Amino acid sequence: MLTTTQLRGFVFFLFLAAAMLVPFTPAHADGGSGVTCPPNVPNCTISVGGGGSSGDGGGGSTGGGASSGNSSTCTMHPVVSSSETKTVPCYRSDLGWFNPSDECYWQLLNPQPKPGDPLLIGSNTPSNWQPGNGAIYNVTCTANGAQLAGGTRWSKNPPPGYGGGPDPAVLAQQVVKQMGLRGADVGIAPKPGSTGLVGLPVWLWDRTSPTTWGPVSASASAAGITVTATAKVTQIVWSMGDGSSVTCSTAGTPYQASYGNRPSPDCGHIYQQTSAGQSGGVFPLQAVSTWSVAWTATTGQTGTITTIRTSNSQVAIGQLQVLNQ
Amino acid sequence: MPVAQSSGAGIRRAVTASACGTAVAVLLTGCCSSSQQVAASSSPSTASTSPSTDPTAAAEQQALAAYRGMWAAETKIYTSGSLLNTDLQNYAADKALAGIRASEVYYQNQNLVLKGEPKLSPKVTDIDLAGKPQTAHITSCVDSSNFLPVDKTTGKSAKLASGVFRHVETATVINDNGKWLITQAVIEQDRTC
Repeated sequence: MLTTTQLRGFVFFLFLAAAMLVPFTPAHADGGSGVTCPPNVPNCTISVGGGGSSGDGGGGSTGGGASSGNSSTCTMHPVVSSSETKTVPCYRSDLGWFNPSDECYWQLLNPQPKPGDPLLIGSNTPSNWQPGNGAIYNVTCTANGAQLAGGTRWSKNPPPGYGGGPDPAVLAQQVVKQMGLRGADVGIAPKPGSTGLVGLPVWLWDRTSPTTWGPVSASASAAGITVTATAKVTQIVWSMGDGSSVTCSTAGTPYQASYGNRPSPDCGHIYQQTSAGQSGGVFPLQAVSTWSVAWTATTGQTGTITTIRTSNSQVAIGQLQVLNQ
Repeated sequence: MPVAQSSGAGIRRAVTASACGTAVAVLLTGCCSSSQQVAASSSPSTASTSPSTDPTAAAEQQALAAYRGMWAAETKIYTSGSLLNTDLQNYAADKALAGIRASEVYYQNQNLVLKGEPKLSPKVTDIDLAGKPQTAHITSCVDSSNFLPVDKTTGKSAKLASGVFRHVETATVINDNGKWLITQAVIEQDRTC
């Protein structure tokens, strides 16, 4: 590393330091004690290094005078990879909004950079980024050990917690509850009460309605944010009770007598054994509907929630020879 | 000015050029690790404070000015205990901005402010004017022997992790559409100078 010139200068400096009684400490890792501190602190203090600072946190939080009238508090881990937690303001006028998912403060860059700004090169910004495609933020991570994680960052959607409103993803969960999504309204041929036959087609379907197949839409609002969601079933998995299962991406076709012994065009099963040995003499039938709920928030955030609903029914299957007797 | 050695860049460079030969110069610059390199790339009229016409030297001056500007803002932040009313973003961006903000929060969490001012010895170690963006690297010696944390309320000195007060700082500077900005700056706790 050292060039001759550098070495000459260094040696000369050593001499001068001694001559002028300048205190001089040889190079060594004074961080070797395990004390870490942020990258722009000239001297680490030891009161924080051990992670025992949460007691000071309360007093310190007023020290900057940076918290706004917004008194809501968020929870963070002041030391990375420690289970210790402390409360911090969810909003600081100097740092922006606390994001509970990365425990960093996010602040919109104002003004926003222009496309192609060199500042964006080292960030996660898409190379063809244009204004309107998300936004650029200054991210400040304050946890001890995480400070280097901050910097210029692009995000397609405002990060969780941004703007202090409720998390749109949480609001979306409430919308799903409002929707009253149900499992399939099971239609089956042979219908319950009658008996099907080994080797003959069984038809399976859902008597579709907004709450058993979709689509169904609903919205919910809180603190100025509105989340609108649309739900529909993407598949129904039928467990037939004989150990087999049938996955149908359609609602199935309702059976009509005119179809005779034809198999269902899209959702059916053929039993190879009777249900005689089953409890109650029937195969227990279970239909598991997978609901996919796509939501959008007025903040611009979008997401998908997948949830399942289960319906139960039964089917009796006998042998043809029984009927022939 | 909280930043030491605030004499004109041209003068400073002239001093640096002869740093290894005179005692005064060495004390000013701390060490002369890259002084020859800096001098070699500067114009011959080193005694002048007017901006050089050499584009490399001019860019180096702007990079160093960004570093000094960053430290002036940084010093004000640490001594006032506030990140508000600062012009830090005129000089620092990206990880440098995030790091300084996190450092101030570190002090705030301990109810500490800094007293005094640092002594800095920045030098451009390399500069790439052909790159996109144009990029320079600075190595500095941050002498914090007169820039120490005290309790904001009681004025009592904070307990320090070590007795080393001179640390190497490395910084990256980019030309952001005509404005040189520090994008990364790290005071290396395990390197003294």
